[in-house]
Amino acid sequence: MLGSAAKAQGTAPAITSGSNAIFVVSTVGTFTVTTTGSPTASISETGALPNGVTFQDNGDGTATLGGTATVGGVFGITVAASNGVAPDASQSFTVTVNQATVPAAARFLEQSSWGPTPATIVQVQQAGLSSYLQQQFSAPVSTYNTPGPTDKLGFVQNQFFVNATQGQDQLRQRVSFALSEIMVISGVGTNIKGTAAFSLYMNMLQNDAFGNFFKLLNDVTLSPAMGSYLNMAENNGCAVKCRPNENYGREVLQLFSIGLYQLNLDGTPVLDQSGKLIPTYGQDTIAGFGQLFTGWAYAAPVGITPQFFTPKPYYGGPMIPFQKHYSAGSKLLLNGTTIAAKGNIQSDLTLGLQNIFTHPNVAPFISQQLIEKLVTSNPSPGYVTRVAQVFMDDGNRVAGNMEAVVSAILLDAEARRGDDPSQVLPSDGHLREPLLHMMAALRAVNATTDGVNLSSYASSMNQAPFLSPSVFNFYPPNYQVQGTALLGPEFKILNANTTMTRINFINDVIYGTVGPNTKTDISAYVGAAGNVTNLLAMVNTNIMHGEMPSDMYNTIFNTLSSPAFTDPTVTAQAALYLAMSSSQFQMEH
Amino acid sequence: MPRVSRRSFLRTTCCTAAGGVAAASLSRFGLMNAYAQGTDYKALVCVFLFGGNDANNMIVPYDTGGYGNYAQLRAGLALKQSVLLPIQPKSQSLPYSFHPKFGFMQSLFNGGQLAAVVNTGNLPQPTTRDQYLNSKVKIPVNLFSHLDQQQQMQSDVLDYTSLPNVGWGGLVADQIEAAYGSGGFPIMVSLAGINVFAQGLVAKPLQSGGDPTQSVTGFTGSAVDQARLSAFQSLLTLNEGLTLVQAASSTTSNAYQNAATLAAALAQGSTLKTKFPKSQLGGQLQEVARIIQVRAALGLPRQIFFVSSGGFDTHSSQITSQDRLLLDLSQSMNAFYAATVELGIPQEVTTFTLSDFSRTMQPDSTSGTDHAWGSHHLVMGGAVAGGDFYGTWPTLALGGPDDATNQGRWIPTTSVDQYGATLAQWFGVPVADLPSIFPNLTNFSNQNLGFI
Repeated sequence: MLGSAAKAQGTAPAITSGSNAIFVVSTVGTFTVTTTGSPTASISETGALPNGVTFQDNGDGTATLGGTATVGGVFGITVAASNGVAPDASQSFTVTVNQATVPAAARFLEQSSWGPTPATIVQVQQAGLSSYLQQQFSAPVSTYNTPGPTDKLGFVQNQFFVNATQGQDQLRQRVSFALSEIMVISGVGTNIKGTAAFSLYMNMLQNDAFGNFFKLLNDVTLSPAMGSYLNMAENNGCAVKCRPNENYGREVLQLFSIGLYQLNLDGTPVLDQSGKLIPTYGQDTIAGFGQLFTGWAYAAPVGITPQFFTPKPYYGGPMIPFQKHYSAGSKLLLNGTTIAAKGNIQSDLTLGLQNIFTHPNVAPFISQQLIEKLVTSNPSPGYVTRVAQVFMDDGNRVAGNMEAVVSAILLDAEARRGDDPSQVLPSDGHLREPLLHMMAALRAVNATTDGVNLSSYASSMNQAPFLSPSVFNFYPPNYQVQGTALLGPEFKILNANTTMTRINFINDVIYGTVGPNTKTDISAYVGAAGNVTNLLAMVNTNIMHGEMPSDMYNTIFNTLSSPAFTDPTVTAQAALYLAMSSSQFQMEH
Repeated sequence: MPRVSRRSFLRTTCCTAAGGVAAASLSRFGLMNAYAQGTDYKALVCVFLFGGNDANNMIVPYDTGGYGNYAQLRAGLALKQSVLLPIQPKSQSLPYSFHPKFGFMQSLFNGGQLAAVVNTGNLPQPTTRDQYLNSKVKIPVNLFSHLDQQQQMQSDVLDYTSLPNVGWGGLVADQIEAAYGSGGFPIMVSLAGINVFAQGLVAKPLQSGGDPTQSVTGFTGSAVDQARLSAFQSLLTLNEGLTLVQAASSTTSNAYQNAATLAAALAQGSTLKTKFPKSQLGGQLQEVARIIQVRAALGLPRQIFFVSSGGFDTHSSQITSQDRLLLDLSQSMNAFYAATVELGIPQEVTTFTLSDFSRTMQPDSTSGTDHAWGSHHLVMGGAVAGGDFYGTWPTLALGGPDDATNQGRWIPTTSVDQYGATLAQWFGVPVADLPSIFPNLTNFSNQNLGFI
């Protein structure tokens, strides 16, 4: 019979589709298994599927793996096809259920690390944002090594680059650097007289980054590096022909904690009846804090008796009190509070720092700046409010819980809305500051480095680490972008020269070398470059968080599709250069 | 919203201003003809001293009584009279002196190319100690804050709820552009990065934090490089509807164009013989001189420059810091003046200083000084009526009539509006247009200090 003859002469089944499918938890997903063979094969599956995902033979030689997974994980199954013609086909198949999409994972890493790498994107996809965050909070700290007596600042700068490029505690590296841009010390000028001051200061910020803001404020205040930089060290509270230095007292209020004028919880200024700002303090309060911050000076190495005035500052531990050099007068603090005359230097300091910490400005002031550094230059009042509320109460009636604040910033719906590109607003995002621009580029091409030369590049972009021009950081938090109505702090240092040096850094990363021991690896991109679509898919994931705009994609695609691009290395390099030199990459959104 | 109202005021008057210029003394054709003949050129150069320069040790009373009072108030920070450099301002009966590192400034002062505008600062209206202490008049918002006082110096906007984003240099450039038209290269050039001073409403400044001729590197003539360059340029035109992407691309595109124009113009220049100090300020002023040299190639009859020096926030160890800073300032400004002589245009270039504020007369316990208010400023150039002081010297007394507090924070007796308006008038801005640039000017009776 014709039928049996055909059957006898049929073709054995083969599975022609790939051997893995990727789903995302709580998101509808589908994968089609395809087969060949005659007659049409029936398809089946053995092994446990993720909850919510089913396997359906469509009866036409295809099968559908589909549904909404409820749990993450990696599931090994076997897919079999048979049509009566031996042998049957069998395929080991992996169903991966991720916790996050590519855009969600990569964007989250843009905000919470020094830039996504191919490996960390996979890591966050699998772990999910919250779990990754928890892992990061407890990741071992990449401490700064203490420089030797002859090491210069470059030693500490190189360590910054090593930690930012290779450190596994990316979130801590990112947040502690953000804190170093709020509570600034700098090697510009001659106030700080030892390289160790910088590494020890950074270690202190790293240790306090996820602790309590009050401890951070206390540790910054008593830091010998800060003591040198803003002159609290050896600030003498003597009585005759002598007036306390006001430097630390002024800047701890203006820059490190509350700012110049009263703020609403949402970060907007409180205005008086005539529409004017309401100052948080006057000159008399500055004088009061100037007095409060007297009597502290450098500790000393073991075996040496500390002296209030010393020719050689000691940076190995916090400053120590010298009661007899503490101003004896009463001190006017914030909100009309006064500390009585002739108090104890240590307990008065605690009172004074509590006076600052309990000021209602601290929560919105610090929250808004951290949002600006990590997520967006123009957070909505609602976003600032939500984070500031967590700053004021972490849910356990604790104020200043930085771990809770950082979580609130990164997991807020406004931070996450760009995971869906249709939700992005025109005002979203922020310009990558030069160091973030550099690190994101290096990490996208799997770089390793010893840091050498990178400070010089950063300097040409006006952001050499630990060399801010003043305590006002490399750029102010309230800089408005010229020609727009938006804040864009990082734009203060995007000028005619630095915009070119930022682009030319990408040129050197891709086509040259940025340091004798900085190695990049673009082999995966080169490997994909035989097919421009595949290459750009990889570039899109790793560099544009999977959301490269279509006009940008088309421009690059058409360019690389021209006959001139025959060498896969040349094609891959051009794709990387064009993506990373673009404003779309430099503006994180 | 003073900032908004000021901007809208300017918008409504900008075109009138342009017309006014054309109809008044600066007849556009006349100017253009004069320029074509190479006779009409002026440049203003702002030297900003970031951090707040302690003017109390820059100019010191030299008469016995005045110096004695100074020495008592300054205590450990008092400069010895024997090292001070005496000057005799023409209009003053008493002698004064410059900081010991100001040798070149002393020579220029004595030669009539340098003047001092004393006790000048951000000031909404004439103000007495009583008015200040009893809040009877407006005072600049966020007084004694570096960032705010810098912004106010550069904008003359003293009352706001968010920082001003238009500066008086930029607004003057707007006027010039309205009168002369916009050429291929910005009238306003900052070599000290982005500063509000340079930002106008219309005229686009060139603001560079390094070599302004820097362009993109790494493109050869090969087909793949040319294709890549073309794609790079195309990407700059895409904004994806994101305002900040557009802003970044606009910065890059403008820089790309200006770098090419400037590099081509500078190629026509020759090496200046004048030697400049190898400092940040010296380097910036040298670059200004090079750009001025090729003004014809750039097609610019008016130019405004912004350069800076930093580190003036001398809360501690002030003597050594200020020695270094003022020496550099004196050497750099002197070299720049020499360069304008070399270029044959000392009369056409006027250099002036600005700074956040001055510093407390009374020292602090770490051999430094704290933030204060009114300061002395320097104006240099062949057109300056030099060798003299302008404005009113303050009474140097703690808690005295000019002290805002009791530590010697002098309430300015001259406003930056008056200072800037005097320079702007020399530059060619009609008197009628000054209030749109200097919003507090009408509160002062003297709107031209006469130093130029």
